[in-house]
Amino acid sequence: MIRWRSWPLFLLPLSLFLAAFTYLPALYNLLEGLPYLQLVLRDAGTWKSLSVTMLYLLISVPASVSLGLATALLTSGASPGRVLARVIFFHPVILPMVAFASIWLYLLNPTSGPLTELLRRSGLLQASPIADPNYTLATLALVSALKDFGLYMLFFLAGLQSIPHELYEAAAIDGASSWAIFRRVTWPLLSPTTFFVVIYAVVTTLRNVDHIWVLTPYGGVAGEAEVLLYRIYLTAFLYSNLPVASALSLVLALLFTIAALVGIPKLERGVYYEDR
Amino acid sequence: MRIVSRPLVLLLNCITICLAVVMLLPGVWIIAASLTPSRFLNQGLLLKSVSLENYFVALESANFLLLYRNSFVYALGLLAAQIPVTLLAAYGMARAPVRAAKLLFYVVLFQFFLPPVALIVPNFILISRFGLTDTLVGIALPYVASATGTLLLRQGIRQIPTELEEAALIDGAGRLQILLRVVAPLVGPYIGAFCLVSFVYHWNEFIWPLVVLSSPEKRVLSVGFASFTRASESGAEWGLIAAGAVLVAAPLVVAFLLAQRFFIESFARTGLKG
Amino acid sequence: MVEELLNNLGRLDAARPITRRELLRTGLGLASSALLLPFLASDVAEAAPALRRDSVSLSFFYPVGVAGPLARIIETYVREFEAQHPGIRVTPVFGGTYAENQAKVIAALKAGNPPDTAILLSTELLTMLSLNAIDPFDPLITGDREAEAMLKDFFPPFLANSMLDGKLWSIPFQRSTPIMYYNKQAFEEAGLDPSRPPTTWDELIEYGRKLTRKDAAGRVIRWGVQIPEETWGIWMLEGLVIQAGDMLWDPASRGCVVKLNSPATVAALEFLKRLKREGVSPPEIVRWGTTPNDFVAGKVAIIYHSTGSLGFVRQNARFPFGTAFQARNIRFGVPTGGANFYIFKGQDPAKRRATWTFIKWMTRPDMVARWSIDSGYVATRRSAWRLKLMQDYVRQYPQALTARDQLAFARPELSVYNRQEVHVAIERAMAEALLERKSITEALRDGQREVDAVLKSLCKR
Repeated sequence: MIRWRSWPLFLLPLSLFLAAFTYLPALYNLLEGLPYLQLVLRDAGTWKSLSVTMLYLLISVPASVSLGLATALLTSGASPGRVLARVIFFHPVILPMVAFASIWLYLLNPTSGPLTELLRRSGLLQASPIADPNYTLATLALVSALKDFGLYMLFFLAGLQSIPHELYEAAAIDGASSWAIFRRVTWPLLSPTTFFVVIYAVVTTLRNVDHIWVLTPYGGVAGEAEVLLYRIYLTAFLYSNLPVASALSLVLALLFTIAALVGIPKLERGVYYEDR
Repeated sequence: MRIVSRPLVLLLNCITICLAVVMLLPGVWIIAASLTPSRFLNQGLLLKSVSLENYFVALESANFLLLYRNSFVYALGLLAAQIPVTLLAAYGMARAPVRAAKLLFYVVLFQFFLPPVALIVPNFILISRFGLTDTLVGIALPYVASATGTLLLRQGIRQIPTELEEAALIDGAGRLQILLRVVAPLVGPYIGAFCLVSFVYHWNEFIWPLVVLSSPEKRVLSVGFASFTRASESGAEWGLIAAGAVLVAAPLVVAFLLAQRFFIESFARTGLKG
Repeated sequence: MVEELLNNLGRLDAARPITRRELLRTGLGLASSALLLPFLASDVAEAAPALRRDSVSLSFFYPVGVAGPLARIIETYVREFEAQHPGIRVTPVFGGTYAENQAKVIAALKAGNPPDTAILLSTELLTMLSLNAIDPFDPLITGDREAEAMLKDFFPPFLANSMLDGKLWSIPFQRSTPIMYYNKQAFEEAGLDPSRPPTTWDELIEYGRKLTRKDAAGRVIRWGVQIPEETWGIWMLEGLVIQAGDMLWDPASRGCVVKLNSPATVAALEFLKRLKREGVSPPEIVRWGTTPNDFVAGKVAIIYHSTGSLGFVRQNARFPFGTAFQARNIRFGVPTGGANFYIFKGQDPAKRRATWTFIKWMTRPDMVARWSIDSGYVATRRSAWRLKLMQDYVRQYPQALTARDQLAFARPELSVYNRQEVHVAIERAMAEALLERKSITEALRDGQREVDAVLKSLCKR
């Protein structure tokens, strides 16, 4: 690759805004939150929240990413049927989360929700999943996955389109099965997109807490739905305790940083870039 | 030459249809609820009678024309700033020397690590210092440096083999020219995806505009929607909420359908089933 | 070489010259972006609107707590005020829910630019004081005859949460109390007299038993009683504890003592458990937000909810309904609720005077009556109820009287430091007990410990 001396110039505008509106606030949080860091780390509630967060991620991210990939594969193409399917899968993405969650609140209303009725009659569940502490977290994770997967479908579609059709034809001529084509052609060439989608999914899932407010306002009966970000949100807005919220944000940022520094290189090793 | 066998196509189509029907539930419910008068909806009788009264009440409850205008100006104006900034940065990141590129990746990624909640107060203080409270520009500024856009475009650019650019360089083209004429067209779908993501996010964004804006004239759609659907002390007016949600989402659906054509063009070239 | 690559990869766009179509598209894109510029320019310019030299400009942050176009109503009031006071401009700033509005106020405080006045929960007094953000109203009231009369005119329970250290820190505006709503039609079906709602805890259970209906398969299609146990569950618990003879907190403790371990609290929780055990209430945690909907849908016959839901119930119930005092155990009693006007430190005298004028205007008897009728909140001044406007309203909707009459038994709402955090801790304790994950004594003991831990930081004894 030909050396490019002036690349910093291209990064200048971004850096200016990033410094002012991301790093400066980070500094602010550091200064405000550091004195409370010890308090926060000693609090059992923080650790419980962290474990809830892990569990929540483990349910939601695989669900949303695989749904996104599956629907992308199923609906790529130009036929009107495919277009309609894409719109249907995508439409939750454009709804405000509050509205989307409110629908599920209505459907899962413990006393009179139609979905609750269905679950009860089919014998699957006796109480609405949002009223039963054992199922609350999973429900929230799935609601989040259902809302977001349409977006990941879009990302995967963008990634799919840059895979040249000739490769598929060549593989088919060689007699490869559909599964082999997927494994050997689609999946590797899609990996840069997958890499992005997984990271984006983790980050977005952790940042979407509006539905928790709608479905289980105080983070669940025993804090079983209090994802760390939600705890920060409650601390900042409900308890008006900004310094502790900053401290919790530091914990979250630290966690993310560690996870990123460890996980991302591992992930990226599996990614196949054309430009290497 | 079929790439995917017929029975498999049939099965996959069935699955697609089933999934689509399930996903249709929320959307259909919202539309049905918005068309059902509140008094029936609260009995659980969806569509017992069909009327537009929820829409009339919603339209009366807030100045939707103003709200649409403000949200549109905000989201589109922000996008107009984000695209050049992120495109430049993504190209810089994708083509910088390896070690620098790795560092840059994490520097940009860091934006995701801080919860938005933690950013509200310090950014608000900053915006106040600039005298930009109660302005749409004030809401937009913190978002111009979009990590989502930068990283997404970076991924797209890295999917392009460098030979094209090297050939152009040899032909004497400048990096900026190459970005605009060679690289950017090739990452069109990624740009399109980002446009959609950014527009939708900022169209629906609530808490930051709520904090920054004050005057009713500056109110954005999400805040306007909240002004008549929040009911923390009383029961929720589902019909009104549904109608409001449809009014909020409708422009987005239109935008998506229009943008769809852009996606179709690209997707028509490939796709598993051809 | 490049053509070869391109052919192999099937890409064809990169190196060809820009077509006219592309040029057009780009041009269109740029032109439409350029159209935004005047908006953006005016957007920034409008941030500092020009004023008459001698006029005062105020900002007023308000939350909306009940469903309906309340934001528009407030804006209408503000415009009327401005028309009557040409030298004062008020910007009404919608702040979202109580919590969101509070967050907005605090963000403004941190940025060094607090609003001139804001409507915040009456129980947020200690939070505001600990932020050193507010001023008392006493300097404004002494010597102002109108104001002194106003103070005597407010129902005393509504002032209870505003007083601390002998000073008055907030003026009541949108206030409520929890009441009982009951389905008269269901009463008749069950052979009960629709003009005689239950008045004691035991009667509530008895009535509940008669009102609960099951289908052929034994599944409940209508519950007898629903008392919410989450979101505002603490508010409901406070009521029960008052009815059992005590209070959930100690008003004399200056925001530092919550009494979870008292016999009255135990009695309250035992009552809620009994409702569930007898099959009169749903076994899961009863939700606040959906209970009025359940009521108007006929899925429950008696509910406890805010008087703020009266408008909602009235509009949506397809059956005659009644309102009544919450049932008594040892005595009748409920906590008050809702929000008041606060004023902020650091205001210049001209703005302070103008703000005071505004607040007095918004709390005039006729405005109080109008606001009550428009919003469903309780009219906070005695004289407001005597106005013809109000009397006509009450004649049409006698249910509106219940909340006012119940005021005779109303107590101040739980107001402690870190109030919300304490709320969440208590609610979790409640849930553990009600879902039978812990015994009542255990849950309350653990809850008390948590609450004390939360209070410790600001309550060093």
